[in-house]
Order: sequence, then C-alpha cells, then structure tokens
Amino acid sequence: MAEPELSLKTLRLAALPEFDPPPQLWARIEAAHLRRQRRRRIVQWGAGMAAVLAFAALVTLLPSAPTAPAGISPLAQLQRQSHELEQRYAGLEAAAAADGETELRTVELALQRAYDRGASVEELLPLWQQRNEVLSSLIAVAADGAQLTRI
Amino acid sequence: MDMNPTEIRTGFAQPVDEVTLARARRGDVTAHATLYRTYARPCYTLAMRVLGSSAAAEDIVQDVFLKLMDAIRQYRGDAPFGAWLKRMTVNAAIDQLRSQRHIDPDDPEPLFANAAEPGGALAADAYDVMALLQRLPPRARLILVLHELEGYTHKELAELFGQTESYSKSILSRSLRRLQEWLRPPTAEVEISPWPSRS
Repeated sequence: MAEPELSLKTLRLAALPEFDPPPQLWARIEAAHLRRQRRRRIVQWGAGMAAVLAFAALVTLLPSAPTAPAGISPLAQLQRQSHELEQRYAGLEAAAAADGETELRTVELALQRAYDRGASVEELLPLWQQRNEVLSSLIAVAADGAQLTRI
Repeated sequence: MDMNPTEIRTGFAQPVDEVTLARARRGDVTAHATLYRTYARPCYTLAMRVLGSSAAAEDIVQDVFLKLMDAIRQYRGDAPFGAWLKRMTVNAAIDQLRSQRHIDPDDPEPLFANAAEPGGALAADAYDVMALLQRLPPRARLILVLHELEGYTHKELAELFGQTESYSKSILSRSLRRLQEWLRPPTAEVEISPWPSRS
C-alpha cells in the first residue's frame, strides 16, 4: 500500500497554536505613527522653507537683463535686441558719429529691400545681426565720445 | 475558490467592510484601529511561526501596520484585503530573516546540513509543536508555514523566492520528512541474551 503523502495534517501538526499580540502593541504602533507624521511635517516644512529661500536667492542674484523667453525664434530674438539697442541709442545725448549713422542706414536699406523681395529667414538673420552690431558700436561711441572705427 | 457564504472566516480571510477601508484610506485612526483588531492576531501568529520569537513578531506587526497606514491609499481592492496584508507580513518576515542573515543558501542540499538534531526522537506527548518547527532551518520553516498553513501554492512560492517550483517542493518534502523523523517514537532496543544452554 502506498504511504500517505506527508503533510502537517498527516503528521498531526496542523493544529499549531495561534498567538495574540501583547495588548500594548497597538498603543506603541499608534505612537510611532504619530511620531513619523510629525517628523514628515517638519521635513516638509523645512523643504518648503528651503524652496522659498532658494527662489528668493535666485531672484536676488539673477542679472536684471531681460532674457528671451524659451521657444522664441532667433530672428525674433535679434529683432527684440535691435529694438532695445535702438531705444538705448536714442536715449543717449552725445552726437553720433556720422560714419556710423551712414552704416546703420545702409544696413536698414538692405533689410528693407530684403523684406520687399520676400527674403528667407536665413538671409534676414545676418542683416539683423549686422544692424545690432552697428547700433552697439554707436552706443559705445556715444557713451565715451570715441570715434567709430570699423575695419 | 469555493466559499460557503455562511462560513465564519478567520485569520487573514476575515472580510473588512468598504466603509472602514475608505476611512482608513483617508487616514482615520479609528479605522486603522479596526483593521488592527481584525488582523493583528493572524499577522502576529504568522510572524511567530516563521520567526519563533515574540520580540521579532512584535517588530513585524509594528512594521506591517505602520506600512499599512501609508500604503492603504494605493490598495485598489484587486485582491482581498487580508491577502494583501498577508503578503505584506510575509515580505516583512523575509526581510527580517534576511537582515539577521537567516535566509539560508539557495541550494536545498546544504540547507538541512546544520539543522538542529534532537538528541534522539521525541516521545509523542513530550514535544512542543512550535519548538519542533523552530528546529527547521529558517527558509525551510518559512516554506512549510506558507504552504501548509497559509495556503501558498508552489507557484506562488516560486515567485516569492525567485526559484523554480521544484525548489520549494524539495524543501517542503525534506522539512516534512525531518519532522516525521523527530516525531517517530524511539524504538525500544531489546537486548537479546543468549539462550541458556542445557548442561
């Protein structure tokens, strides 16, 4: 006759005792839970404060120059820069060098023609870049009274 | 699984109502206490059977219920709540055995090499079942308890230990054989004296 398959039942060990946890265990768990919640709140508060301080430091330390918003095209960026330079130059009282003004008008004329014939962005970009460079030079000249020398 | 609707379920199989679960998810301490009252006993019993120490079993219950208070928000009710909690208890017990370096080598052969040898088989009325269980190597004890008492299948054990099904089958069969040996009543040694010769 085949032997019955071994199991705790066949060994008559299936009736293992059950155990009750000590009565004070729940109070300990509850206290540990409260301690953990308090610690988490402190950590969260600390992290919040650190974030506020970091943001304040960032705002204070960042240069005030306007930055181009993300996603703006290079052409629009050059146009915006050109506009700002133009305003700065207009605000300066010193007389501009005649050579510089002539150069600026030449670049502006080239830009106008390019727009008239529906030029591509690739063609417009260097012209705007050129206009900004001339304007920057004019601002520098007007600021310290030096002569504009372009090579 | 067939379940008689009138059957009173015990241990991890006890049901828990949706309202209590919803309150527990919201962090209601009274609901947490209700869950504790329902499941602390099976949780503690499982830990006692596997670890054999009341201090270690208390640590397990504390770990499991602290974890439960956070993790219950993620409990979606796909499995019965008791089964979910049992899995947490088993994982905590395995972690504790690992931390005590009590998880034995994966190879079943050396697993029983250092298993406690009783000083001879025990008389049937002299053993304490729990003490007997504690003589098994921890991993063997864990497999025996999970399969024989908690209803884990060999497929589930294979997933739990990252082994094949034959691995847990082999360990289980060795554990049961070892228990059988320990339970076998000592055979009385009969001294055979020489037949007196007629002179």
